[in-house]
Amino acid sequence: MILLEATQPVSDWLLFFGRFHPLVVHLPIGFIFAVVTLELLKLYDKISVNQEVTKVMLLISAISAAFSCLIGYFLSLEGGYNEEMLTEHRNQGIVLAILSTLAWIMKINWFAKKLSKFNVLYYPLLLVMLFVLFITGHHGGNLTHGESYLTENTPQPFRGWFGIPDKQVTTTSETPKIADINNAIVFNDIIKPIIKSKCENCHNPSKMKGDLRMDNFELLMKGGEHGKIVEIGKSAESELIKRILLPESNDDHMPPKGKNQISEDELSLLQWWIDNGATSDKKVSELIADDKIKTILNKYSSSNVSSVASSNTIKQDKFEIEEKIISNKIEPINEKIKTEITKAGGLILPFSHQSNYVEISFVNKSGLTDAEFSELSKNKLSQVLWLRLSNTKISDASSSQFSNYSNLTRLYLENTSITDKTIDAIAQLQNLEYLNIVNTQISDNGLKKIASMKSLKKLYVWQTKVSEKELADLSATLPNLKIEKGISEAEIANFLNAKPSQVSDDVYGKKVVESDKKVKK
Amino acid sequence: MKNIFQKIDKSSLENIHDQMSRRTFLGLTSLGLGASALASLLPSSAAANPLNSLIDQIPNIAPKAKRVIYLLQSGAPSQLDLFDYKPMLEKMWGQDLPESVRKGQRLTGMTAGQSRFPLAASYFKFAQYGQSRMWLSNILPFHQKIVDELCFIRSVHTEAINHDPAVTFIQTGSQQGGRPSMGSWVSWGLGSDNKNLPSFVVLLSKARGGDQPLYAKLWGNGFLPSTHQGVVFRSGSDPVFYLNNPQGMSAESRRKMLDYLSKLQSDQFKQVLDPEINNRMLQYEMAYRMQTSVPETLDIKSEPDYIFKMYGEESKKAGTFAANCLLARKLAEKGVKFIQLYHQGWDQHGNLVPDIQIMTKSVDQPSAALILDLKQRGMLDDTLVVWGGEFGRGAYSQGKLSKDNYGRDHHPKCYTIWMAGAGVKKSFVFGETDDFGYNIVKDPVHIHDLQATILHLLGVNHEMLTYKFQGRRYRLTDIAGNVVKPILA
Repeated sequence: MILLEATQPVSDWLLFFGRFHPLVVHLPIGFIFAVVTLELLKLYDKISVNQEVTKVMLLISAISAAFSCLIGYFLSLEGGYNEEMLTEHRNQGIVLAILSTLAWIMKINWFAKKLSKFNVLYYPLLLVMLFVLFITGHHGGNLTHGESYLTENTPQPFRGWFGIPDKQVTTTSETPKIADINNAIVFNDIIKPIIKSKCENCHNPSKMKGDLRMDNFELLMKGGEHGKIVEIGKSAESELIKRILLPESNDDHMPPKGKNQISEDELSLLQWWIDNGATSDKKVSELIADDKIKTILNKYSSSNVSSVASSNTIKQDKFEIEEKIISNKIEPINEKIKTEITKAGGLILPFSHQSNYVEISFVNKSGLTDAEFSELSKNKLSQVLWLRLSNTKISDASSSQFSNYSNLTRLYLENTSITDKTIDAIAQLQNLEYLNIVNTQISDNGLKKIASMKSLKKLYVWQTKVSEKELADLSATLPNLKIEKGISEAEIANFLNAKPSQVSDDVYGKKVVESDKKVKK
Repeated sequence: MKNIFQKIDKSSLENIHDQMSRRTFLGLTSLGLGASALASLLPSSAAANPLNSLIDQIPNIAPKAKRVIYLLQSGAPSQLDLFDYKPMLEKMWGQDLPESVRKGQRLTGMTAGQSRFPLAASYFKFAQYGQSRMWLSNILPFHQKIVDELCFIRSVHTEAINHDPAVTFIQTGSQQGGRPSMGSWVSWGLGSDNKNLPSFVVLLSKARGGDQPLYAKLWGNGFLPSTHQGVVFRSGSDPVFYLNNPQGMSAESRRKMLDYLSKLQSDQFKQVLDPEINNRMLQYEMAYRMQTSVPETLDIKSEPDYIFKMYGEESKKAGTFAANCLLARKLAEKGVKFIQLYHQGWDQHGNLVPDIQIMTKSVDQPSAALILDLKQRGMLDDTLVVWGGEFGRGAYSQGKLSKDNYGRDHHPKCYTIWMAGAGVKKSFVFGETDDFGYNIVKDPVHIHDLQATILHLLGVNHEMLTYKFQGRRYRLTDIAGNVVKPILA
């Protein structure tokens, strides 16, 4: 018999009858077992059996075995079975049917008389039949339930003896406990256990319903007979989810009616996994999880408190260039120059003992003039990383001086009279990561020039003349730049609309008044 | 007096005269005597303390924060009603606190006599906000707006169970008084940027009368030189007591008086060699400079109206937390290194529900406004802001538990504080408590750890900022403290 691929739609009748194979198959099993038992007992003179009885039983075995083969063929048309295993089982079934027929023939009076020399083969034949029965039945069971079905729950120490790998812990009733929920791999630790317990019984290497295997990530994503079951990023359009959402009475609903169903939590997790890219390697912390998912995930966490960390997309501030430069070696500022700066009212603040880089602050010299600043800047101080000129009398006249501070990472120019003209000079500072121009005359023209500052990480433009549009453009050009434009008078209203709730939610909805008696000691 | 003059011989007189003329010369610079006086009179850290590594007041490592604004909530805010959402308390409302949770934790005398310890869930509704999904109650609407700037630590713990030892502990590192406060350590270790303002300023406010008192030892200098004590600023026309010249005394007269006073004092120093004499002189000089700098700094008349709106209506009223927050910002702008605010009134042993709302109303908006204000001025990158009390409050009700009111007793085992700004992670939640909000289950942070972290952010290794006194080396973190690395950006 050639096994036909189910390339054309199979008649429903065939499929209907095919489903009876697991039922019908128990007839030859029962009867063959019975015959063997009876014949054995008769052989050892324990009982006496009428040969007519044995003959009838063998006939029934043969017929039912043959019938099972036919029905089995119908079942195979459904598809979704491992080809190799199916062929073996089929062949074994056929052999069994033939052997049963032979056994029956041997009991016919005509045969017994005419070919009496073969009678001695009768008992060996029964034994062979039994053996074939075992093999056929076992393979049939594998086709239905999977190869590891029998040995799955073998207790120790037998597991070790037979080299059976340790039992997979997941059962359908409890969720697997994960110690470090945030570092758990979403697919391996959360999704796969769901699939394993609810889907893999029918979608595994031995049994591939709908030509779909779900035991392997690639094959899961590949899909089966009807194509892909996972649409990356779109859980609503994924067949996997669609089928779970179908009413249980619907034929296409998965898992099939009567089998363990997918719980609501598991469904949410599957949807969450698909919507976030259906990846095989991303960790829990790398996916964005809302409250609902967090609550579900927390049930997986073995720590007894909510601990799922958010996949925060907030980028922490890191002044990387500054950190790198500070760790470099450089000569200290000349003592004479130091005195000069201090005398002029500047404060020299070394960053640390291990570093000769400094901050220079004029917080004590609000009267600092362009002339004084120029005088000091002549020294070309590459040790200066932070320069605080806020609230001084510095103006555009000093703009050419900034190039003397080649390593500058932070520049404070708030509340000074600089204009767009100075931005040209500032834009030359390759290492600048922080620029504060709050309350200056900077406008859109100046802002445009900042677009070339690739290293800039923080820009403060509150109370300047820059426009929203220009800020948006700059943001687009320099995606790593955080621009802080501050609260405008108009936006204050928005800030102020925060109101505490006057009424409690009465979250526990109790009307009980509990009183406490103080016990006087 | 007479004796001193008699002991002076001619050469001494000449010396004094020399000093005088030097002083007069230097007095011509805009800094006045300040800089030179400091330089010549301040006992250098190296000389006074050869084992202190902060020589010349330079940090150990590059600091992230250049100044600290500490918003200390005195009385202990109830974290269970503000920051730590515990649905288990709702589930078990009214039931006794299980012994398995309490584990024999000592109770204060105020609740030890109770026959029952009924669990009190927060009356207020909680929800999660921001990228960090931090739980905040609905009485902190302004915190909800700035939650992404904040780094919450929910697992702070202390040993102290009552206010005085606890505030002393968090300020000085020991439950017994007498040690320098955090601000003093910072002032001594790192010095100050602004020569015309003290490096350690204290601002006090209270929302409810009759709450836990505060003492000057909390911002005292302990055994450190007295120039490092916290200077209390009051907002209003007279920010510092006795700072201004009395009527009829001109600035010139004051200057002459100070000059002569310094002459006398340096004289005495030579005889007695008590460094406190010089410290006293330094403080006089500082006061002199403050006569001009303080009114200028604290002048809020020039603030635009919408800034006042941002901090809240109370910010126009001197002595409120809102007004102090605004001042704190102004002081930070001027480079004051350690600005300590205290806000009293959080001690809700009873009547928590209405009382805590009085507190949050006075604190929520100004705290948020301060963060936003610092941020828009570009100051949040190098200013560290800390907000929190001295311990937490407990899960069971003190006194009668009704559905709309209850009280909470002290709870040192866990509570929440937040930090923001220089060097700490934004939008971050660290540490966890158990389902009852009673014990810490993850990442405990002891007071000493907190102090070590604050010092670390200022560039100071807390184990190396030490002062030898009475035979042993003291430090802010006493003999403990680990920097909490996971919250560092």
